[in-house]
Amino acid sequence: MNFNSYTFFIFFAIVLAFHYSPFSWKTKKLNLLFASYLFYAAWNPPFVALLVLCTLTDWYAGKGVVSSNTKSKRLTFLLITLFVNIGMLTYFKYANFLLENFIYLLGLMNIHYNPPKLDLLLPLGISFFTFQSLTYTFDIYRKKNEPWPSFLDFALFVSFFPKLINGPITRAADFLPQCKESANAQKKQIAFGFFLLFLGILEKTVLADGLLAPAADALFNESGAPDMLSAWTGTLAFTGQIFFDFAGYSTSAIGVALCLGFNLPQNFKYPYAAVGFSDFWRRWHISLSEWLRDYLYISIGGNRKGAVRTYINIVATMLLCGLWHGASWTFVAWGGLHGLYQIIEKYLRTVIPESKIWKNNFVQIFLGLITFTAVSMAWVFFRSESFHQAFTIIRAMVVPGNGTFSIENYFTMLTFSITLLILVSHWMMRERSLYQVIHEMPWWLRSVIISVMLFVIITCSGEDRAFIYFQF
Amino acid sequence: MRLFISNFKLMGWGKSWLLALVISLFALCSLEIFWRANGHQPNIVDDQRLWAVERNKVGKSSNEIVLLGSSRMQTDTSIKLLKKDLPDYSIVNLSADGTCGNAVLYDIAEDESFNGKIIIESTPECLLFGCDPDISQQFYVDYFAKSYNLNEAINRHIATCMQKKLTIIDPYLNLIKVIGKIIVQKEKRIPNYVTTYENRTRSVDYTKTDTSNQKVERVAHAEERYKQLSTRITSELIAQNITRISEAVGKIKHRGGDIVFVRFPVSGEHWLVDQKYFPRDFYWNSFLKKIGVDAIHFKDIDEMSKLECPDTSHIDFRDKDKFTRILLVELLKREVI
Repeated sequence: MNFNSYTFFIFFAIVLAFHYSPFSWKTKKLNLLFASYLFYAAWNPPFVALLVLCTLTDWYAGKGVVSSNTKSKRLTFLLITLFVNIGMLTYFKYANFLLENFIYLLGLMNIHYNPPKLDLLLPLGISFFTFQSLTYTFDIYRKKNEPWPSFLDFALFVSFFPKLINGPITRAADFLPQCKESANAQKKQIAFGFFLLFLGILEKTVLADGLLAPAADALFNESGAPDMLSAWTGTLAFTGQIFFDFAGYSTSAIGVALCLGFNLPQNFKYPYAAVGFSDFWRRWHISLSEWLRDYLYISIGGNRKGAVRTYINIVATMLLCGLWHGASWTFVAWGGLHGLYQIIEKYLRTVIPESKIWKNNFVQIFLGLITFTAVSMAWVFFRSESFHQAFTIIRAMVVPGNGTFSIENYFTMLTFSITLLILVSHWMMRERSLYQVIHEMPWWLRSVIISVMLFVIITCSGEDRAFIYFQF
Repeated sequence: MRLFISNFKLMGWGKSWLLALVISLFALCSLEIFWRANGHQPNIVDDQRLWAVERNKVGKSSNEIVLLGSSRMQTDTSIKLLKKDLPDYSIVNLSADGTCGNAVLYDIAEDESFNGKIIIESTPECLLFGCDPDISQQFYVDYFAKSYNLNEAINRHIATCMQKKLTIIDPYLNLIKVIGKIIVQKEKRIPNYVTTYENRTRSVDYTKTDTSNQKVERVAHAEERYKQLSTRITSELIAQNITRISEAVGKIKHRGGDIVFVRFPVSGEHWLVDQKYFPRDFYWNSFLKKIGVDAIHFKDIDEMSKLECPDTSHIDFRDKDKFTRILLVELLKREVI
């Protein structure tokens, strides 16, 4: 069920009506749990079983970790939950990828093996809910948290529908305490929640699908070589599209949760105003980068074992980050490129002395533009169907040439205008937050903004497309 | 982890939302009135979900007629008239523009619940290359099998109800596209000459559009395509398709159903190009004879062959009832219905 679908609005109206009826808090949580399963079942009912499996595994693994008196037993319970969660993810998401690579390797040894491709349907949001659920057992294993006393709360944490399919990846430690007391939102929270819901829909349907997707498709759906301007147009269009698509979902998810009185983590903080790549990952998909930092990067040693090992750990984390996004080597390359960017940045920080000049506004903007350009070029690998396509586009971006096709001027104008708007708005909002800006605004100006949003959503929505991150 | 909201002190939200709703409602109503005053009408968006709503009806009635094929079936046939003249039948329209009905035919052949009649609008191109990915309806078949569910159905029904009432949600009148057209082509949006209905048929009013360019483009496109396709024809390909279609037809007939292939009218140069690359005798008559299936060709029916296709490929909505009646008479004569 998409946030921008008619059925979601009917569903959400019913959920809100139940949530604000005079039931006990426990009944309301049961309603939310039922609603969350229904939300997931609306896509494919049998896969609700995966949610239940994930819930039961981490619930009992958490209990097992605490009740174990030896380190090895504790580790066994952690490995069980890792085996189930990562196993589920591997089977549904990576089975065909692994098989293809296995066949390729055999081919190199002149062994011709041709098994049929597995006809697997990827369960929506599996990468998100498995990672969320794992935080619970991980934190208990690291003695950061105690097992939660209520199974109902835990089940709701794993399946809470606003964040279930596309995040933000919420940690048990952030969500579960909110289940303790009645989470009835104040009226102004509901009002702001709806504002966020519609803002997210606007980002997705109008900015991502309506304005930018056609130019991105015009580049990436073609098989030939683009000219230089078209290569940049399509790449910048995708750079904007993926931001609005994903940030739009997160914004809506946060808004929906807020209407129900729950506070979810911030997932994007104006990433295209980042200065440097570490800064970018503190602003882009924050909930994933923090998850990878805390549960993967630090676990494999982080920066505690010298410079070389730190670089290796960064690259390993970013390669897995790429693989998390999709079962293809182009995603791995995208992650590897970001790893490389971070190593270069880290190295430069060690050789270039601290100076006031780096804090100068113009220098910051210049460095920000370099970051943005490098990030945009990395998106080429993320979006391309193959390395051949990616290298063709990258070559066209850096080597002037005529190409075999070009993108219409109208799309070029539109893309460059929107890119400029994104950069200016992200830069202006760099150190601020949305609710701060909205809070400072006169009430009538908010009205104008909301009405423009509603008008534009209804009259300018693009072709109906699934959220890009649904496939992850 | 930093949560999204802290120190929540937002004031005046009630007033903000109330005024916003009034302003947006006023703006949307004004735009709706503006479009209608300029001759625009609500239109249904024909997509895979709407196709699946129709597909879901197959096998639900003991007396059913399923229409297959491409855009000609959608534009030339009046389901309203068929329903009026055949009140005991349920009519399901599974044709889809720009594609061939082969994949759907094979899908229905496997559907044990279906034992009705199929009228398939086809061409030699479809008979031979109907399963090529760019013109196959497999995309619809897969969507129905894997993704269509109650949620999708409800969503689509609500969308249809809204699209029947409002012009402002018609993608043709999407403001981004409208403004883009003004900027790029310096042209304002003229009323759409194609109207799509809930049953997925269409009415094309060729008086609202300049057909001279369309004629040239269609013929040129057909010629270029046929030229490419003709190089791929082999006796193996023909035999493969005859076998596959025969099997599907056999399964349908075995369950008590029936099927008829119909070549819908094309005009002028389009027909000449068709004949040049796919001569009727070989690619229609003898092909379908080998399959052993009933076939109707517009050239064999005097009244049908006289119908004019303003764009060389589809008939105007004013001739729709006439065409449907001629087709119906022919079907009754052949005892298909």
